[in-house]
Amino acid sequence: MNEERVRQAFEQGYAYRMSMIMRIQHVLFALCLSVLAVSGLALMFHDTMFGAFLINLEGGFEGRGTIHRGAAIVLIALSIFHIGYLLFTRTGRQELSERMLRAKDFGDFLEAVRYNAGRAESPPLIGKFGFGQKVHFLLAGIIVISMMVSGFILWFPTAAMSFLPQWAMRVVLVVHGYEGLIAFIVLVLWHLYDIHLSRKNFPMSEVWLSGLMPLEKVKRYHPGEYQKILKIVGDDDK
Amino acid sequence: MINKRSTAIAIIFLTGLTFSLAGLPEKSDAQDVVLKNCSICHGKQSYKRVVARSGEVSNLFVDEKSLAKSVHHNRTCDDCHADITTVPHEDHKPQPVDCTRCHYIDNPVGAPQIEDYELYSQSVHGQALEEGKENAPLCQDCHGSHNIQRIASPMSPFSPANVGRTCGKCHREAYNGWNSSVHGKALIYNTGSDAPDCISCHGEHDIFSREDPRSKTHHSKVSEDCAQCHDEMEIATKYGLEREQVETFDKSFHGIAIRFGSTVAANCASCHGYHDILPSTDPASRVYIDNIPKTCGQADCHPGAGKNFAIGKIHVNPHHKDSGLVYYVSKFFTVLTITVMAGLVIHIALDVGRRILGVKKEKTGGKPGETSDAE
Repeated sequence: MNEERVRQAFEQGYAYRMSMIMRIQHVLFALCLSVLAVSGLALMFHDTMFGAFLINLEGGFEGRGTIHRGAAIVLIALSIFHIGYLLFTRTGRQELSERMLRAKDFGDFLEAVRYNAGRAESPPLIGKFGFGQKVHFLLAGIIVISMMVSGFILWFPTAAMSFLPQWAMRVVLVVHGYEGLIAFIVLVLWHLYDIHLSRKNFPMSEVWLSGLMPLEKVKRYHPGEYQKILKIVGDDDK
Repeated sequence: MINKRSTAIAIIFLTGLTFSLAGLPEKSDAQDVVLKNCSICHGKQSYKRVVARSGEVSNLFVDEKSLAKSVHHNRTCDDCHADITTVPHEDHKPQPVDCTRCHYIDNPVGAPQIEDYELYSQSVHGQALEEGKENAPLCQDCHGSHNIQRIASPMSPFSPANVGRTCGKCHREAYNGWNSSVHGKALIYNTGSDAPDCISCHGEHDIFSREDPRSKTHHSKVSEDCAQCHDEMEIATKYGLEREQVETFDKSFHGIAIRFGSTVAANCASCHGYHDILPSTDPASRVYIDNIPKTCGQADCHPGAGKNFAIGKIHVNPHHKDSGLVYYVSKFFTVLTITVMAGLVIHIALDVGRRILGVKKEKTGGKPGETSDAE
């Protein structure tokens, strides 16, 4: 964490949560996923009017394919960059460590359930990311990687069939399609809802634009993170 | 060109109608006179003529009986050969007969005609004629000349048993392919009268080049041609065809590509062939299991296709139990998708519900919807 930034933000009543490089990655990731979803689901639902409309909008069958694969290439480049960022930069390693799913998270999750049910005195000390967010990140990683693998198999069928039987291609097609659909559903109903549309942030969380989260919210939803910030700024009064 | 000519001919025809065709359809004395005159020469079996330069011998004998058995048994020679006005016509080589003298829409003599024939002039055949190609087919080249029969007659050149040969007069290679195919054999040996002949897929007067989007054999229309029978419950049941082939193709990557305008994705013919289609059980068939890698590996498709292409059913419906693993995978994912969606919708509903409850609590002094979910 860039301590200077944290201090600056703290003085203005905010927590420094997303660095510029993270925000750019987030926007690119969102764009890629949107394009992939629109062009992919168009093919999956080609026999509906909306699907047909989308395919024609995307320049017919070949245009749709080119757009889909183009977005996939950008996403792959972005993923490689992201992995490099998480592993080889100081702030990236800090971020990765915040995202690691630990035994504590499972306990926190159960504790949160107990608290929400009114059976615990105080909420668990959730850090920068809660259990749900960590699972979300893990799932996103698994889905992106497996979509890349199945995507490449479908992109290069002749090469793929040098080691896969033809029937496996059918399975891969079904898996790629449904996995994409599920990822889309999760993004819209979980991520978009919880982060942006739900009561705590409605209509939208500003973190992805400014990188800052009001301290009020950090205190309430990420108390562990709040304590960490206090340690950095060395201000025990707040 | 033909239409203009036919209009002009029609006018002349109408003025002459009263005397030249008086008394029809009964056989008239006039017909006898004309027939007798022409038969002086053309009635002789040995009547031949040697073409001066090439030395080709052309047979000029016309069997009166064949005319008598034809639909035109009431016509006289000069009804059709209208350019012959004197007998003998030594120096005048008769021009090809123009059928549109009588056969045009709403003609007054009741000569049958369908609107489709107007498409002939736009078809490959009509266009070839317009370009002045010598071998361009006229009406009589397909329909026959003196022995013209009704289309429905078994003697007609378009009867299921004859149509292949009729087109094969010019399209020899296509005919040879078709007559040894599963379709050709069925018609020739009379084991399946529903089998397609040339017309079933290519059309009649409206035959266009397959490059032409109007053509029935255009890349985008081939699966529709095959679906005429292969997607027909009655025919499919009668011959034990797998009716799902059309549906599974339409839903396949190839089928969707074609539906949305691809001109390179495979259609039925790309894999099964067209004239020489054989059942997949025939070792000579393109879709026989050992031949599949070669068929898939065509230069324009998947060059380098290996033997793995043949492992697994090609026409697969993932929603069918006999499809094996892909069925179970697809079922699993359907259930998973619904579960995930339902779970998340419930999650949202609970959250929204909690908010409403939270607001109430706040009024009564409780905690304002305070939860510790970090998402």
